[in-house]
Amino acid sequence: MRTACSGPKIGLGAVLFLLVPVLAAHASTARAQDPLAAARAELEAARFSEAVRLYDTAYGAPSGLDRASLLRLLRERALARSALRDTDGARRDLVALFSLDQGAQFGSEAAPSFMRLIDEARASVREPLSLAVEALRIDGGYRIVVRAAGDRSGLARSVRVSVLTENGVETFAGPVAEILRDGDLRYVVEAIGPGGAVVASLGSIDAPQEARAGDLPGVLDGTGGGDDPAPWIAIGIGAGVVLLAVGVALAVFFSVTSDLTRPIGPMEINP
Amino acid sequence: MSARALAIYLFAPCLFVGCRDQEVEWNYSLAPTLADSASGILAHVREGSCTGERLSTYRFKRGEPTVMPTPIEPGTWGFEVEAYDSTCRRVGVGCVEAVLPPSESGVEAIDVAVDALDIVDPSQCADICDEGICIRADAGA
Repeated sequence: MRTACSGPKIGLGAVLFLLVPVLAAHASTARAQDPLAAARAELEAARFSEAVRLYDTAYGAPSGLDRASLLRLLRERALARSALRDTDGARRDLVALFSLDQGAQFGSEAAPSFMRLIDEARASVREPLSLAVEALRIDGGYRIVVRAAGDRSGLARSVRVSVLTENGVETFAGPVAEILRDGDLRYVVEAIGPGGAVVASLGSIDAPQEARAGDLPGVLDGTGGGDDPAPWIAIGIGAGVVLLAVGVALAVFFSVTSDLTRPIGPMEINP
Repeated sequence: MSARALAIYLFAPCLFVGCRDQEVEWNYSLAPTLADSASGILAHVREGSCTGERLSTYRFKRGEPTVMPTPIEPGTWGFEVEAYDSTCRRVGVGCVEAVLPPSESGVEAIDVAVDALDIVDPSQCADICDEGICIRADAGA
């Protein structure tokens, strides 16, 4: 791999001149098959701006990437951005990369300045992107609450909860899924990121998460509360926090004005 | 604390809880000769000046409640009021420019004086004219 920090050289120019037809043919073929391959071809041809543009397109698309290709995209876009002296952009890609894969490695061909950036980014990621899920009993079913942790780069753009039923898989979107169902629950939780890639998951179709009706706490319906006062204390504290938040919100609303103006009228003043 | 930091400090809560829009009265007064003839009112907010593009239009019968105008971004705006008679002829017009928001420009009210037109053209309303309001959506009044 060419390093991103290599400057233009005469020898390199001659090589590129000879390789242009080959690279162009390779690029056009690759572009038809895979947007990352096209971007990779541009990267290898030292057309870094075009490479970044293609990576951005793939990154912003709703589908087309899996986890492995997203990792590859982040790694290669970091290289391209670094070559364009977009250090902040490269750092963002590296942080995202290491939040997905803390063990991601770069070859020894990377320039020393880029290696320093890699080390800084790796050190700044204290915990990888992960999901935590809480399954609660509600009247007639379950509530699945999903939270993402370690998502410094905002990679988890949406959450998908897939419930395994006798008839197949039923999918719910969003970090809170309410699933009306008797009996035990088997499910898979996935966080969906750029390009539709699954950036974190809990369980799989073969080894799903399981919630057993008898083992779960309830939510506000008292099914799991019993005589234990702890839930009611938590509810009381929660209600207090909500009231405080509402008070703060009202205070802000009435004390701070926006820069928008709402005309009152038009009113006739000499009817 | 810098002005930028202060602005962020003050307005960041707006992102979460919303903030109260500023308000300014928009009044119009009809020329005496229009007092008896004006029936329908067409009010426009124009971008930049009284000759700018129309941002929004509000039509209502004189004396009836108006629709609350939508909030307007900071800047200079033209506030125009047209008066139509009961046959939907345009009989008066007035416009005034104002800089918003009031907290920055100091404007206290938008007062539009609607003057009678010297020449009243025939009605442009090709459909039903209901007391100065043309029912057809694109007829103007």
